[in-house]
Order: sequence, then structure tokens, then C-alpha cells
Amino acid sequence: MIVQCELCPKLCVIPPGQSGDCRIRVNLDGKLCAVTYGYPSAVHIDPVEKKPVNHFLPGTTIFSIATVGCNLHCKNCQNWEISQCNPEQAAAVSLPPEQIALEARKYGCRSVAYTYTDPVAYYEYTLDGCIRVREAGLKNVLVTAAYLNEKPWRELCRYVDAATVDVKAFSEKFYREICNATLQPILNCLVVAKSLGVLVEMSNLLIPTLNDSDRDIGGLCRWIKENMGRETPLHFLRFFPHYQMRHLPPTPAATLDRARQIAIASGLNYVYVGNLLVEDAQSTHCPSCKNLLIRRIGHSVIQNVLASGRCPHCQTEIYGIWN
Amino acid sequence: MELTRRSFGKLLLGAFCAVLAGAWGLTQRLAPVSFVKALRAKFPGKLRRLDAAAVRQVGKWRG
Repeated sequence: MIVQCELCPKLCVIPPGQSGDCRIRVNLDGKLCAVTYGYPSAVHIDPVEKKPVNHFLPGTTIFSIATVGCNLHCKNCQNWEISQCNPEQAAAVSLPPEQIALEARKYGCRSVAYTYTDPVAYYEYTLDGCIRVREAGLKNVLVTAAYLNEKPWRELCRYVDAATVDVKAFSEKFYREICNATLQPILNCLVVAKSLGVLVEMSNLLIPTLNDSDRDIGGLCRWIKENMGRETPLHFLRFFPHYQMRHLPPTPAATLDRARQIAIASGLNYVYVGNLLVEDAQSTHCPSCKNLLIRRIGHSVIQNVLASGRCPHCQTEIYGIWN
Repeated sequence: MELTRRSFGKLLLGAFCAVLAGAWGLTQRLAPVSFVKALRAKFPGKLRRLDAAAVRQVGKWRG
């Protein structure tokens, strides 16, 4: 019997014995099965700033897990060795949802990240993990492209504390040609997550000539301000040649600086640059009095003067989860 | 044997039912059954032990 997966907008029709576009949702005997449920292929302790998440428990470590598989196929994928890997060819550890929080605590982590590939592809494991982790008193962070249908996304967001959503470009053409996906469902998921109280940060990997024009960057910034609010942190990330996009050079520092200036001029309060050491571009300033609140170098927090989530100078509340 | 109007009608009805049943079965096989959530299944790859030293290392992957 043929099955149709209605998890993400791709709506894969899957013949018996075959998998959907994500490689990990398989038609076994007429039933849709998640073959990586409980079997992450990557388990690490990362600084939370690496996700990137700058407004969530700064300076802490986060228990980070991922199974193989992804429902996007970005030609520039930096994690293609696990995201575009067939589960049959992968190695994994057994880590059922009920053990995730135990392991996270063992390593001194206050939160868990579902990351590296896309946690919406291994949806059931992410959802059950989030439920168990929250029951255990820890927090959940998604690192995702948010290419998911609204109903399952709403259910997942009930258990998610923070999400960093990677918007690949503000262009349907880019999504179709580079990622084998579409933009609109992602924008929808972003608005839904924000409306459900999830702390949302956004990232945008700038690829020379493909998504780095003033029009692309300005369009994204305007959309964020109008639909997500100016308090939404935005990270511009440096591209490095990877996977099927080795012919393009790394993003010049000047492009990242230009993007940051456009975003600030658009009225966004918190704009960061990642994958490149730039003095001050990873630090958090008060949007009212402009004083330095959190100084970062790379993924390290050097100084944090926030007092109960407020600027100690002018008492402005800073968007984020700080305790 | 003489084919009466009644037995011809029965034959025609039988053939029609057979075609209908075949078409129904084919539709059931070809029309996809929709799922949002997937069931758990056996991991088809290689299993290894959780290595504490490897876990403590910062992930080499982005994100």
C-alpha cells in the first residue's frame, strides 16, 4: 500500500519499501515509519552560542543531538555528511527520548538542542524528546529550517523554549533552485512559533552572488520587523564552500558588515555576525541606551552585565530567556 | 445449452461486479494512505556505544 507523509509541505507519496525525500521516513508494510527514532548519529556538548542562540542562557553549554536525514537538500549544506546520508549507511547510538534529559544532566547541561540536521525530519523523536526533557525541568531548543506543515509545527512548539530558524534566503527562486523547498511555509512557521511564545532567533547564511544583494537582505529585514518584531535577533552567517557549492568563495567580511548595517538601519534591535571574528558584531547592546550588555568573542561570553533580563543602565527589558 | 435472458442478465451482473471489485482493490493499492506521524521502527544502520569522551567534544557540525 502506498502512503503519503503529510508532515512537511513536500507531501511525499511513498511506495512500499521506499523512503520520503528526507530518507528517514519509510513505508514499511503500508505504514509510515521513522527509522531514526531514538538513534542519534551526533551527540555533543556545545556552547549555546554556537547554535547560534544569543538570547538564551548565555554562556551555558547545551546537549546537542541529531539523527541523519533532512527534508531540505541545500547545495551549500555544511553538514551534508549527516544530513544527506542514508540511515542504512550511518552509525548511531541508542538514546531513547526518556534518556535525553538524564544524559544532558550528566554533562551539566540545562538545555537540549535538536540540531545539526533538521529536527523536523525526525519529528516524532524531537517531539517525544521535547516532552520528556521539559518534564525533567530542562529547556528545549530547535535549530531548524522550519519547513513543516502548520499542524505538526504547532504541536511541537508547545514544548519548545527557543528556536533558531535558518532562513536560507528571502526568495522563492533560491529555495526552489538551491534547497529543493519553498519559502512561504517557513515564514508561516516563524509567525506561528512567535505567536505561541517560542523565543525565536533567525539566521541567514550569506552566499556570494546568490542571496547577498541589498534587495534580498533588505526584504528579509523588513519582513522580520513587520511580522516578527524588531526584537527578533538576526544572525548573518559567513558562507564557506561546501558540498555542491565549492566553486564560490567565502563571504567577504565587507558583505557581512553591509548586511548588518542594512538590518540595523531597518530598525532591528539585535543583529549579529557569525562564522567570522568581528569585534562587537557578536555582542549584545541595549536597544535603548546602546550600552554593552553581553560581550562575546566567537562562542565565548566574556562579560554579561544583564540584571534579571534588564539593562542595568536604563532598565529596558531585553528579549530573551536569561534564567 | 440455451442462454436465456435471465441467465445472460446474471452473467452480465457477475462480470460487472468482478470489474467493480477489481477496480476497488486497485484503487486501494494505488491511492495513498495519509499519515502525519510515523511509527517507530528498527534502525537500519550500524549501532555504536555512546562514547563520553566524544560527547564532551564540541560538535564538528554547524549548528
